Amino acid sequence: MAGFSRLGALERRVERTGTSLSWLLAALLVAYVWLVVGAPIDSVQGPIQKILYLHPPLAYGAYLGFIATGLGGVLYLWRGSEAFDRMAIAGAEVGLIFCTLMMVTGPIWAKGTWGTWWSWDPRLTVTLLLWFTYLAYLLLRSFAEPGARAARFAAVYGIVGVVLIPLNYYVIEIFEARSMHPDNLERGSLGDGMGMPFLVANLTFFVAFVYLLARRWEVENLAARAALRESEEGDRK
Amino acid sequence: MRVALAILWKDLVCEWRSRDRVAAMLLFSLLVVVVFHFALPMGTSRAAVTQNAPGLLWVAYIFASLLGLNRAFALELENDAFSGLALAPVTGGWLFLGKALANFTLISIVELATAFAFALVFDLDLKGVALELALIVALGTAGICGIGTLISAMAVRTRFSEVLLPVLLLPTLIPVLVGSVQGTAAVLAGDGVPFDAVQLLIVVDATYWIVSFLAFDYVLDE
Amino acid sequence: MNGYVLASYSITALTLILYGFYLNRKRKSLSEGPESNTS
Repeated sequence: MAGFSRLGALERRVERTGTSLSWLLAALLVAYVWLVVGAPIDSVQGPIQKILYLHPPLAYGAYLGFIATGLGGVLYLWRGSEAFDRMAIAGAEVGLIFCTLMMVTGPIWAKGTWGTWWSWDPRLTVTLLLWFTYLAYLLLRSFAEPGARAARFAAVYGIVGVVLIPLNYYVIEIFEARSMHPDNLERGSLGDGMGMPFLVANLTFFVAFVYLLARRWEVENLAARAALRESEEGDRK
Repeated sequence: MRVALAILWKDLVCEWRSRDRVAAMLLFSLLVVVVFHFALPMGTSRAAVTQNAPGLLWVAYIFASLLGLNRAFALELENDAFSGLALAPVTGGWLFLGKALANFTLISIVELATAFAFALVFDLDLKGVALELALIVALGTAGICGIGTLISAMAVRTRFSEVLLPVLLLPTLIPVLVGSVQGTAAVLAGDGVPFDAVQLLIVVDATYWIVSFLAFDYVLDE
Repeated sequence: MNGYVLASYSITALTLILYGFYLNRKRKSLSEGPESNTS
């Protein structure tokens, strides 16, 4: 019970973050929908280019998710507070969702523009590897002995995973990029009138990620509290 | 540092006494090479084989390494030696170093034999490029052992460790694989030692060995 | 409206919104106390 007073402060901050963000998110969503619908249609790719306001913004969640996981792990190892381990769990789950959505929208976009569902485009490739890293992390968590050991192992693997992100980028850029589709250059280009929707899209998904992360973290905190309460009641009986 | 050498010596002596790990890895590797021969369709041209040889070689190496790494901590697990290691008044990093070097040595022995078998089965002339190839293989193996030792120490103490080890390890091996395969391909094509592949492998190896060294304590805690 | 665009946006929106609702529901049930803990 001793750790709970300190825990309480962090918990409350997590809860307040979630609540305050929900209003900001609602406002952003309205702006987002309005801007995306009104955005100009790309002359080269046609309407499908509007996935631009979806796929790259999802990347925020995918990458930040893993950074949250890694950071949570490091803080857990350093400070020993389980709240940070719960942040890692939240980061992994929310991040996996964003990453999976990236893996879904990416091929859809590819099919619509290049005609193939998959290509070893650097960004798609690194996202694929990140996706596998997420799944491996979650598998490790579920197979390791629950409690401190799972948290510790997960923290270590989380650090490895975070290191892996820039490493994979480095590798893919140097070697795989040699066989890049020429069309890829067009996908990233922003025409007139696309700057604002793109900016708002990125902002919206960033806030959405932080909001969902805060909520997921809070759920984990509440669950831990409930479990503690139950075990204490069990002890008293 | 002495601790690292002590662990290294202990592991090598243990292996020498029973030789079961190396024997199993060796047999497995040779089988994999033969399987690869049958895996390539009958009409595959010699040029196609030579082009894909580096990739196949490294797949064989990775499979063998997975086998070896799986058993790397088996003795410690069976004899409940993890607590002993954790209580030892040394930084976990040195224990990692000893273990990783032992893994490196044993896996390298298997890789050497596999290379001979590979050259035989696929009719490749490796003599001219032996030294350059050895360099690439050493760098690649160092990468595998660097991160593999850390992950194996974790995986071995979980449920379904035989499945978890590859699942955890393979994503981390992608950079190592890319560098090694590119390097091997360049060497076999007679282009000499490829600077970019070597540079990549050195960066990856250094990163993995440093991270594992620093994190090993957390993996041992009982 | 392009089919691909529709698919992408709806999948994303559905997933994230449903997830958000799921989290909020869990939040409420957990903070109401052990009696209403449905997990």
